[in-house]
Amino acid sequence: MRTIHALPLLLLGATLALAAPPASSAQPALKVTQVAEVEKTVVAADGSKQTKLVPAALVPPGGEVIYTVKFENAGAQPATDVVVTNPVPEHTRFVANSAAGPGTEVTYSVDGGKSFAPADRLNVRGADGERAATADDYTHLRFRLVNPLPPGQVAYARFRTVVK
Amino acid sequence: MTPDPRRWFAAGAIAMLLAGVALPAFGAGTRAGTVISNVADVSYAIGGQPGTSRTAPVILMVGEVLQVAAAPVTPIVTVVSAPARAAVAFRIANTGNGDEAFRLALDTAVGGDFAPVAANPTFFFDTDGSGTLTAADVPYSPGVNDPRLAPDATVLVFALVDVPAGTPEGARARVRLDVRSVTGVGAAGTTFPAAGDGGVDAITGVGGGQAAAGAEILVSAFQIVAVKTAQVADASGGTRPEPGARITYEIAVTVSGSQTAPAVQFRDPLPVSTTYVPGSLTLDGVPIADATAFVLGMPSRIEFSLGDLAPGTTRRVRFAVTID
Repeated sequence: MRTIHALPLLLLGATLALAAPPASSAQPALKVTQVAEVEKTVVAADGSKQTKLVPAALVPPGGEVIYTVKFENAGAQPATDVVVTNPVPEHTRFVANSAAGPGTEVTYSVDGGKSFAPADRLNVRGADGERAATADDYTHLRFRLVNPLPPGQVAYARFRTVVK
Repeated sequence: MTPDPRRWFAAGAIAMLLAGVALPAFGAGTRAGTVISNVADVSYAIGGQPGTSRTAPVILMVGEVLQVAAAPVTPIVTVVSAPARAAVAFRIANTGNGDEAFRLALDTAVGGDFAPVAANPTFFFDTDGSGTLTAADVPYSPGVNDPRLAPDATVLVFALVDVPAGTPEGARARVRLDVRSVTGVGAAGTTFPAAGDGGVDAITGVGGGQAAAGAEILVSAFQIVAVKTAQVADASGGTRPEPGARITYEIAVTVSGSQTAPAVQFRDPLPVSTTYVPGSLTLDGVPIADATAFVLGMPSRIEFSLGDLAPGTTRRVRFAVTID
C-alpha cells in the first residue's frame, strides 16, 4: 500500500548519481558493464510462447533476477587476467549452478570475498561441524576469463539470484 | 507457569471443538521498497599494465506483494438456545511484504440450517488483546479504521452474529469472513503500478490479495465451559516454577443450557518438561485410579469420562505434575 515514504527514491537518485563516472576519469580500455533482467513470457499472435529477458527494475520477493556481465575490450591490445568479482547482492540468494559464461572459470567465496574456490571445494563451519557449502552460503562469485580478450572482442558471463 | 489452553470434547451426539486453527506461516520476504544494488569489481592487465575498475551499480527495487491469510480461532462456535449472539473470532495475518490495510466483510448467506444475521456493527477488534470480546474493544467501520498491518503482523477480530429466535437446538449455519487488500485484489500476479509502499508497484500474491475464512455456528442444547487454574509449590515453600516444583492444576467444568451434555470426555495433555505425579488425580475430591485416566504418550495426558452432565453441574478435576 502506498505510503508517503521518500527514502527509497532518494536512495535511487543517490546511487544513479554515483553511477555517472566523473568527467575527469579516463575511459578504461576494458569496459565491464552489468545489467539485471527478468524472464518474461510473451505470447505471440499465433499463440506460441516465447521467453524474453526484459530489464528488471522492480522484483517481488521470490522473483528471479538474471545478472549479465559484459566484458568489452575497447583498447588496442589484448586484455589478460580479466577477473570480475561480484557479491551476491544483499536481500537475494544465489541460484545453485547458475553462474556461467563461455570461456570463463567460476569460483565462489563463502567468507565475504576473502578467498575463492570452485563450488566442490568449499566448506563452511556450522553448529554441527564442517560441511560442504551450498549456494545459500555463497557471499561472492568470481568470473575469470581463461583466455586473453582480444581488442574489439566481447565476452559475457551470467548468474541468477532470487529475491528473498 | 501460566495455565495451558484446555482441550475438551463431548463425545455424545453434539461435539464441541476448541481446537484452534493455525494460520499458514509465510515468510513475508524482503520488505517492499527495499533497494537491491549490485556492483562488480574488475581487475585485468593490458600490455602488462594492471588495471582495476568497478561497474556502475545495477539497481532494483523490491515490489510489494499483496497477500493475506485468515482463519477462525475456533472452527465451531456454540451458542446456547436461540435467540443468542455469537462472537466468532478470526485471526488475520498480513503475509505480504509491505504495510497494508485490509477491508473486512462478513458473509452470512453461506448456508446452513438457519440464517444468521450480522450484528451492527459487525466487527470488533480485540483492542485490549484479551482474546475475548470486552467493553474496551473498538468496533470496525469499513473504510474508516481498516486494520493496517505490517508484514507478518496479525490482528484478532470478532464477528458478531445473531441467531434468530426459534432456531432449534442442533441447528448449524456457516458464516464467512472476507478480507481484501485495500490496495487492490485480482488474480495472482495482478499489478497495481506505483500503489505499493514507497511508490513501488504492488502485485497480488498467492490468493490474489484476498482471503476468506469460514466458521460454523452451532445452536447447542448445552455448553461446556472449562476454566483451568494452576498453583506452583517449590521445594522451599515458595511459588517459583523451578525444576522439582510441583504444579497443581484444577479444572472446573461447568455445563449450562437446557439439556444434559452426553458422555463428556475430559482430556488434558500434560505440559512439556513436566511429569505427572502418580495418584494425584481427583474428581470432586475423590481419587481416580491412574490406570483409568493417565495415558502415557507424547505428550502424556489425562483422559477419562465425566459421563452425562446436567445443566448447572460443575465438576472439578485436580491433578499435579512436577517440573523436570
